[in-house]
Amino acid sequence: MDTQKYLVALLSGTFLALAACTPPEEKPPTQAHFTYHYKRPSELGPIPKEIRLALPSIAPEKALEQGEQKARRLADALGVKLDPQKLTRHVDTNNEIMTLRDDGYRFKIYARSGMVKFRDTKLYNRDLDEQKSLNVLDDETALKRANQMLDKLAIHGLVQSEQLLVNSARFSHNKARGNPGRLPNQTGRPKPGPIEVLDTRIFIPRAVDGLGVSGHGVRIAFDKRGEVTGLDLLWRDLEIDKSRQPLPVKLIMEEAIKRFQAELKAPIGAEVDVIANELVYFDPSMRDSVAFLEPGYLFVYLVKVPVEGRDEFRVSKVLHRLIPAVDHGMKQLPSPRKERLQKLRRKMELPRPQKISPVSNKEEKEEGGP
Amino acid sequence: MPISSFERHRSLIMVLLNLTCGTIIWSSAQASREWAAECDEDYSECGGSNLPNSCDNTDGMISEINDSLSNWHHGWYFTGGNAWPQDWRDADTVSGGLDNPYMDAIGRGDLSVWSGHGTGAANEPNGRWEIAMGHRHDRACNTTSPDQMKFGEQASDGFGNNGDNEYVIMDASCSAIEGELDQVWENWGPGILMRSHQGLAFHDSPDDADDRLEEFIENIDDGDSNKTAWLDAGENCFLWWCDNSPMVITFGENEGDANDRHNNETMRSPRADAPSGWGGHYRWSFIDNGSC
Repeated sequence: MDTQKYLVALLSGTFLALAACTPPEEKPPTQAHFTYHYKRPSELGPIPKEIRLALPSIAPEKALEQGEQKARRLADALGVKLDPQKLTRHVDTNNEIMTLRDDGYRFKIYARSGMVKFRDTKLYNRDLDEQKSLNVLDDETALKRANQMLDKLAIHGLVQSEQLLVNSARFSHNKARGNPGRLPNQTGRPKPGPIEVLDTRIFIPRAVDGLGVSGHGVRIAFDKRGEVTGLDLLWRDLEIDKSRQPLPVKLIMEEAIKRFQAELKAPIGAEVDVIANELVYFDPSMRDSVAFLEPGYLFVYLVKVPVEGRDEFRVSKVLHRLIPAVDHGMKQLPSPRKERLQKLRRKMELPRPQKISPVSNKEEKEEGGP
Repeated sequence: MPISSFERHRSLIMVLLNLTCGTIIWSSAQASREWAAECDEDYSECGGSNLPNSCDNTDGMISEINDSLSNWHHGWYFTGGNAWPQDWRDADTVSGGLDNPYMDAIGRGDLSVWSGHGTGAANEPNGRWEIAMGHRHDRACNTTSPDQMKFGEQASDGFGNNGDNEYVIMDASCSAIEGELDQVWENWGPGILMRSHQGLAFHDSPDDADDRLEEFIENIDDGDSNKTAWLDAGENCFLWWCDNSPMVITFGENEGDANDRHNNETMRSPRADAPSGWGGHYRWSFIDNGSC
């Protein structure tokens, strides 16, 4: 054997011996399975490489007053005249919500964000006998009317037209149905009446500086005659911080996906339906003031965990996870509401009266669970 | 013919009787009601992903009830490991069931609320739904409808005839799917609404919002019916769309009564008269943003 062959044999042997001694890498148990359903709106450009921060343009201490003015401008845009004789103005004990209402209309103002909801209280979410024979607006007509409404909102300074993603509008409907109950000893199943479609709803999302803003947009409900019965102005007044240089995005979507999947503590065998994964300005809550909107990769998802022995799942609510996309060194404002509610829970939560704990005499197998 | 004293005062007696009956009905509607709520956020024991805002959701509801619905009072509030599946099971038909002292209890559970996970099937509708708890108790993690939950049963309905509930909220996934309402919620199952007035739930998976139930109570305080308040609070828009499908199902004596209750019943002034236990009519409404 020449030296070269000897060395190769020696190295191979060493490698094999090492491989035999090293415990095999522990394979993780069956991991969660991720499915991505998201289709990015075509109106958004490519994901930017640099981002400027979006800051609220109204100081928290002025938010309530500004919110009321906004509601009054919205009333003008809608052509709604509140009856001064019957108008009530109510601010809740925590200064979080203000309502302006008369006999026919209601404006609800979320003081910390400046978002406003309008309701025609005689028409919104109502089954109206006088409209029973009419058809609901089709999507095209609803979009046309929505555009007219959006123009009015823009004229009144309530939205910025260039931030509306009109081509990404989504439609939905209020529906109703019924059936007779079961008489004693009756068997079989009932035949429900026809599904009644009662209105047409449209949601137009918002993007600022090329990024979507989570939870922001304008939602309009039309009755069958095309009247606006409800309008949600989910629109915090924002300004882009031009005092600082744009911040570089520190990870790309693929990296964010890897991080999301690695950090998600999904139970073994779970199915994770990712409804959306998008780089956004994240608004944490319409009920809170913010110092800024965090730019980040938002994952909106649902987790299904199989129930053993059945073709069923434990289904989560729709969850979200935000992975910050830039380093900005700013601190978010605390949420007084969260603090208040946590105190309340400690006060209201009751210990179990142990004497009522059931002790079943029967030998039962363990029920439920995955 | 002599006129008796009764006949002479007949009109006055009738007026007094009407006033008395009216007062009884009015005061019954104004009478004190109690809420009972359970929630869980930690699912490490029974399985499922954790829900960070599930109990914030019920906290917000309680805060708003305390602030604005003075006729509603604290019944029960159990969270995490103190929320048991047995609390929702009919005590008279399910071994170990505890709905009598808890979620369907007289003087405790006029409004019963669950905020947490639900169950769904690969092929819905499959005729059943479960409350999916985070913590196991007495070997159980779930409570099933129609097998185990019967709410508001009275008179000769069966199941012990000892329910008291009027409204049930299931703030959980897939809790009211079109196509299985008759089994899960109606007396065809027989399901949850035996004589309870209304069920408020979801046709899809709602988002893990921390303020939905608070918004619901705010809407009621602002003058909405339960139906309008729930459909309004239940639909939530985030990112590019509105993704929740809130559902309200109402039980009435007949079609007219079901429609009337559906459109007008409000927790501000709950109806004192329960719907029929068997027979009757159901009406439901939902915002269709998709199904389970």
